[in-house]
Amino acid sequence: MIKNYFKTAWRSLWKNRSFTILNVLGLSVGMAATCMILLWVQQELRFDRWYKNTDRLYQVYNRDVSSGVAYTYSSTPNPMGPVLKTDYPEIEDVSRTAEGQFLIANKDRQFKPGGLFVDAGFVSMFGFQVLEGDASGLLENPGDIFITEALAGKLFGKGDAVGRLLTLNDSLSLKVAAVLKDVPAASRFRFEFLLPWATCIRLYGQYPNWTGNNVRTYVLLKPGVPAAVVGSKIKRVTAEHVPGDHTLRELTQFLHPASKWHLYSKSENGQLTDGAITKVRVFVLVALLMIIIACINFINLTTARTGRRAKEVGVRKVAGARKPLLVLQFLNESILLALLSGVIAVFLLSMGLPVFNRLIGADLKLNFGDFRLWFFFLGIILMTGAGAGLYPAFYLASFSPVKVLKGGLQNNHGSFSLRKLLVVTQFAFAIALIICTLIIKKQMRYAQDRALGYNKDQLLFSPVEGDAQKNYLLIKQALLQSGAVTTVSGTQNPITGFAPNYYGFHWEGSTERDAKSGFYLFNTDGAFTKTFGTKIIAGRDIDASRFPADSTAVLLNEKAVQLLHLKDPVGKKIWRDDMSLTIVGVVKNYVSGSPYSNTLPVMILGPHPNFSIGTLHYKLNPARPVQENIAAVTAVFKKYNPGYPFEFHFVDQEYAKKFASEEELGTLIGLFSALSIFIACLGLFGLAAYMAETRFREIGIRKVLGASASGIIGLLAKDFIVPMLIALAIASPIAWWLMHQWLQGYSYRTDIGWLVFLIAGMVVFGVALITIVSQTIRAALSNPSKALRSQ
Amino acid sequence: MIKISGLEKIYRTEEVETVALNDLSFEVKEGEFVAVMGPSGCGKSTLLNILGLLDDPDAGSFLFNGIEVAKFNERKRADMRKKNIGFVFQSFNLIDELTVFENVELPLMYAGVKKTERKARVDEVLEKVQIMHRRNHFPQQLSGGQQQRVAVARAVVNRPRLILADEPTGNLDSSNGNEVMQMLTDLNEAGTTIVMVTHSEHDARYSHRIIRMLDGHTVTENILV
Repeated sequence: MIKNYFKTAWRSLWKNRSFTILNVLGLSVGMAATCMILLWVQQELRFDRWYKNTDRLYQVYNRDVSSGVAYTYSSTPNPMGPVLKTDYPEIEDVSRTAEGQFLIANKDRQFKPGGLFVDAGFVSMFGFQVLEGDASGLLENPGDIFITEALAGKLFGKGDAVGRLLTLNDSLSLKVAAVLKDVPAASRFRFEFLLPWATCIRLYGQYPNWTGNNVRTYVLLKPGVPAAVVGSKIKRVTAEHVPGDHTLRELTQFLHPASKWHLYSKSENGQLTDGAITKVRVFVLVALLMIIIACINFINLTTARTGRRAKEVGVRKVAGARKPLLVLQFLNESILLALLSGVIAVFLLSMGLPVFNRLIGADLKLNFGDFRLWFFFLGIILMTGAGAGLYPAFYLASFSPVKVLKGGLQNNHGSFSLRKLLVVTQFAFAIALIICTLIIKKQMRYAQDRALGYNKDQLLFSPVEGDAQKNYLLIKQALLQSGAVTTVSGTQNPITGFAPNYYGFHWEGSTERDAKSGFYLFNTDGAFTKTFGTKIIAGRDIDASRFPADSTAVLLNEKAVQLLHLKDPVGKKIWRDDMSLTIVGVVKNYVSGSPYSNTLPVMILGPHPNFSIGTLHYKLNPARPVQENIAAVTAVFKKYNPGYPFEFHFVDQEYAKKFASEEELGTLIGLFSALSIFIACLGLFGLAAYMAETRFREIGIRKVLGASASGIIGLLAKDFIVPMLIALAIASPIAWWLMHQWLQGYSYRTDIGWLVFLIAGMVVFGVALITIVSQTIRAALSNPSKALRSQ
Repeated sequence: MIKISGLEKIYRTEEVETVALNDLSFEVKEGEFVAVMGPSGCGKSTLLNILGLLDDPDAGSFLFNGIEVAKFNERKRADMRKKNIGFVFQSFNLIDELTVFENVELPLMYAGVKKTERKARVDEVLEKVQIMHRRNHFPQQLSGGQQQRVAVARAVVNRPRLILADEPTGNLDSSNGNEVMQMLTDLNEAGTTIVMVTHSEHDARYSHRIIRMLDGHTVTENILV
């Protein structure tokens, strides 16, 4: 019987090739898109959950309250880790991590990879695989380094790496103690090397202070120990070690489980309830809707063609078939179609995955040797086949043989039907996605067009490292003398990069509450406004060469002045712990940190001893070709810092990277909205063709009676235009609400406006109209006598 | 074999109520060949649908081999149908996607007959209706007469005790029509009961008895044999 079903199904699909092609196209694109998303979701759900002791691993988080609002942060004091390990018997092991990027060299082979300083038990706590060397994974000796196989390959080629020597920053000699397997993409840890904590102390000194939060702390609980018990014990660990500090009154610590690190990493009212999970949920919904749209095509096209299958149902029933058998037969047909589509979808998936990976910066792979992947495909195929086929199967199998064999089955058009409801669903989804895409793009453009407050044109920066630190003044001088640059300014961090947030400042008239106001600190050794093009609106720029006291000078931006609520700030003093600063000027606000944030209060310090120079910003001479300028700058750095490869970054390019996440989201939603329109239009194409065919006689009669071709097209198109309008009416408020919620995540945000709805509507109407007209125009232009003859 | 009494069937739409069968009663004995005639709309086809257990009456009794089947549910009707009844339609109603062989094989499959036996029985019946040489062809590759022969083969392959034929020659020319009627006669002579709805006096003459209907009930009965 099954063979007979397959045979009938195959012949039916072959006979109705155009119907089959439309369905296979729609289903395969839908399935490929769904598989793509689900593969990504699977990776997201596996993120940080594959460690050896995932269920016992926790990160220490802080919860505090500012202006009555609770918030969390993950950086912890340096001494917390060792204290947790020694004072709390429930904790089996602890590791701190701190990021670092260094020049690591094996003679001439030099690279600047990123890595971590970690405590001895880090590798075994997480179960990172040791490929070569010390299998215990303990990283204890100060002169040791663990490297990943990728870095080992770059440094040593195919030869053994363990036991060989490397230099760090052209000065420190290290021995490779172990080679680790590369860290999978589904991990929060990104490192190519690990260095023992002792090396961190050697490079940066001891930091026993509990008031600075500069490391991350991970704990491994002993088996069977409830996290809640340890959580309550360590709740006040920081405050207990800084007795008398009233600013820590509301500060508490808590444990965040490894299984939630990735999915729940964003704080909302002091709870980690948001994060990648939102994106996962959104995309699971998109995946489901993509496949539903494709299934709707099958349902619509199948039920529209019932007249053709009805006779078969009647004959089979007369021959003794019962309803369940017929349902099975039609399901069989949809599953066969899904199988065909599945094969094409796997092909599309393998072709599209590299593009998808590039778009979202993922590393998804199709391991065809893994039987689970095939089960996954099979599951998708069966689900699609059943999802698409179930309703048509029951619908077709329920026909009364008496009616269908007498030709009593009529297609009704014009009235409300399930088919129209499904078309509305398809297009509502497509329109909603387009609206979302447009709003995401609008928000991005809004932030990109934001007045920066500094001039990034021809502005570059290079790290000051190695010999560049000791030759810093010579480099500055040589650069200016080379004529390649017009101005230079040394800072700790790039202007597009991280600006540390400090609180605890006091000034004349400040209150206890003011001490909790955070300021973002930037520093410069001079020529700040000249190099960055910021505008001084009061006072003057910092210039230590003219004003020796400027090592304690500070420039404020307007926002910082607002926070200090000082009427005439220039000349006033600000102090904090060991820092005493004099305000010498006020600059106009400029974008520091995220372009999507409100303007941050920034203090620009002079050449203060607490802040080193780690970055040199310089403005290229616009009168000379850029390449020539770069060559001259390279020569200067090579001369004074020969041990390091010269590195430079254009500020405009670095700034553009800040939009990567939104760019990625916009591209993804845009991609899926295009695919959903494509699939929905395939269905529309089929329905319009079928409608033109079934109303062929009616069209003939209307034409004989005087209807014009455009009138006929309008008549046929009308059936689809109304559902489109309904779809727009449904999609618009839903998309508005979703995007309104999304925009709340940005302090600097655009308004939604009405234009996006108009554009989305016009795009979908345009595409749908072209699809419908392409099918109905033939019927509208045909000779009416043909239609009447066929009667 | 068939005994109906007081059979009623009314079709209702929102605006119109049509009485298709009105207090209809008659009997068909085992081995009989009965023709049902009457003008369009007199209820012939409705009667045939009820006799074929494709439809159920609104009132009255329908005894099939002494069993009351008027109130059978769909499952029982399908079961009774596939064991006892074969159908021949005016428009042949062959499945376009199946070959001649597969079309004829269909009732045997639903009856759960094993593959080897199915093949033997289909070949036998195709031989009998002289269409064996086209067994692998699809319906649209056959002439009308050939298609109706396939339909007859499909109707008899399950060895039903009753064949219901609805205008079996309606779409055929006279030569092909005569062939089909001869086939039905042969089947009847071999013991199969036949009830045939027809407009053709010529075809009706092949039967033993003609029931004439008007407005949903019998008006006359002519015994020909």
